[in-house]
Amino acid sequence: MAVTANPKQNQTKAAVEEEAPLYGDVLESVLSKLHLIHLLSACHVSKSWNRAVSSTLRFSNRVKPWLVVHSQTTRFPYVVSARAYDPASHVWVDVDRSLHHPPVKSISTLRSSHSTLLYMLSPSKFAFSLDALHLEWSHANTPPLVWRTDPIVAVVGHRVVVAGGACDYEDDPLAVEMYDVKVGTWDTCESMPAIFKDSSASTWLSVAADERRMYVTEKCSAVTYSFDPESKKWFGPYDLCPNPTVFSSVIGFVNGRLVLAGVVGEAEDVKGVKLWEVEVSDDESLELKEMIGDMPETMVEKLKGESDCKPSFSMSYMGGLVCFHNGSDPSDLILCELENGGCRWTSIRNDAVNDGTRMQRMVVTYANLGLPELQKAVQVGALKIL
Amino acid sequence: MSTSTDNNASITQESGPSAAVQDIQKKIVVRTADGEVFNLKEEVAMEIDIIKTFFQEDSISYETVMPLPNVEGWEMVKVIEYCTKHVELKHKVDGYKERKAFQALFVQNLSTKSLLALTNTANYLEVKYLLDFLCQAVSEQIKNKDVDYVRELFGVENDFNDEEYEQVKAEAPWAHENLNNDLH
Repeated sequence: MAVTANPKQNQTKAAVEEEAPLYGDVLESVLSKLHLIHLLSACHVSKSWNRAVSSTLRFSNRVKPWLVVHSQTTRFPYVVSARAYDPASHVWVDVDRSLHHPPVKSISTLRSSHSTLLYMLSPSKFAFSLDALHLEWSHANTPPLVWRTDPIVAVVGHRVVVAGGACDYEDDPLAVEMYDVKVGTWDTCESMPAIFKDSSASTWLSVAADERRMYVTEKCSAVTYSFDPESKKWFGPYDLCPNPTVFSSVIGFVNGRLVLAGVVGEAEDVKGVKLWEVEVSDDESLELKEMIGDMPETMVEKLKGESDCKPSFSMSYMGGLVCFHNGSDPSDLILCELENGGCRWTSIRNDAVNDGTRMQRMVVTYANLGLPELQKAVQVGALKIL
Repeated sequence: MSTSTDNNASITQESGPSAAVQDIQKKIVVRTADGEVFNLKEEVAMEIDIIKTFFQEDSISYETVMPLPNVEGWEMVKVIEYCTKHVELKHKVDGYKERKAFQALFVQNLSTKSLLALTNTANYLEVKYLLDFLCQAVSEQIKNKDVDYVRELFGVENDFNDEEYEQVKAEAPWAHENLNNDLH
């Protein structure tokens, strides 16, 4: 006769349950139904519950990077509000930064060149933030030497690179400077390649960075250069244009690989969005490889939205997740998850868009929020669990 | 061995498929810890993996009464109720609303203690979809509750020593406040 082993066989079932009604596999199954944010209480109940929480989080699809949508009012004092989305549990949460560490006051527009960085730049100040929910802001000791209105900014290792976007009266519109966070000083580097002369502002360029290099792509031509902060030099050009039907390209890192997203058609009539892999060779040269993703038509329509303005697509990314949004109409966010060589596309309504924020500046970043970061965020009152 | 009255008649297999057989449903008999005996329709019994394994894989005759020493009578009633509904809805094209309504009623009057007992029973009997549903119901009771409430509800003892507990509390003081229990 098949009987499942009962750990306390000399006691009646009722007695066993009096002692520990919820344990082992069943406890883990129960905990696996809870959103990450609700597990914070569970892990303090007892040692065995603590272990059960750790165990249930070991499955990689429970913890995914969160999307954070920041909205900034266009008038003084340029208040920034944010809402975060957990793709694992499909929950939107308010991020409240007003209780402590208020963001840099009215310094200027909030910007992000790549998914983990938020920065603000004015003639006299430069502030940036790299933590998951952007609760902590750092200020550069001095602003960059060159006055810039709309440069590209990227974090490469322990340096922040600021390039181009210089004001008209500056000598060199393609000037590049680098802020070493460890030392607190600025360094001047090789200027941007001349090809970017008329397009050195962040509006025309797409930026991606990893620990070693910064990659800059001119959106309309897909011509790409890489910048090495060690040698302070530029390398390229690399022509990454997939084919003549692509009129705009943006780059990013997905699962550690450089990826190019090309928008097909034309500005007034976007037909599609496709993803290509970019190979980085040992000698650091770049080459476009095969297509790895194709956005479904219905989602392309959602991405285009209903604005009369020309679309302005941005791609945010972390790990294997990518998020596309249209600056001209960010009501829908198109998400793509790259796994096992395939793409899984979903679309979500942008919960941060409402009548109050519709006309505000919107920036999207990705946050790696594990249980410790979540705990800290809730502790400081930045996230509400209800 | 068995105390059920219609045992013999229902176990004999009639030859040939067809409507005649439908009248005599194959039954499987189980006895719970408190001595209660249940006759299950074969199709419902086969939803319960531990029963399925016992009779099918070990080729035990259906005449045998399977003992279930870890299951109380009232729990068996609930499990049969759920599995019967599940089998019924399998054949329906759009049973979503009906399933949801049924599930709501199913757990409505269960105390937490009973809910937990039933969850453990579903685990023991190996009825995957019932276990899944019950775990979800239990998790609803944990959501948004502070640590003390959860401990009391589930009868869990705090086994962190004073030092460990202070450290744990310092990391998340909000989890130890007395949240209004009605706040969902």
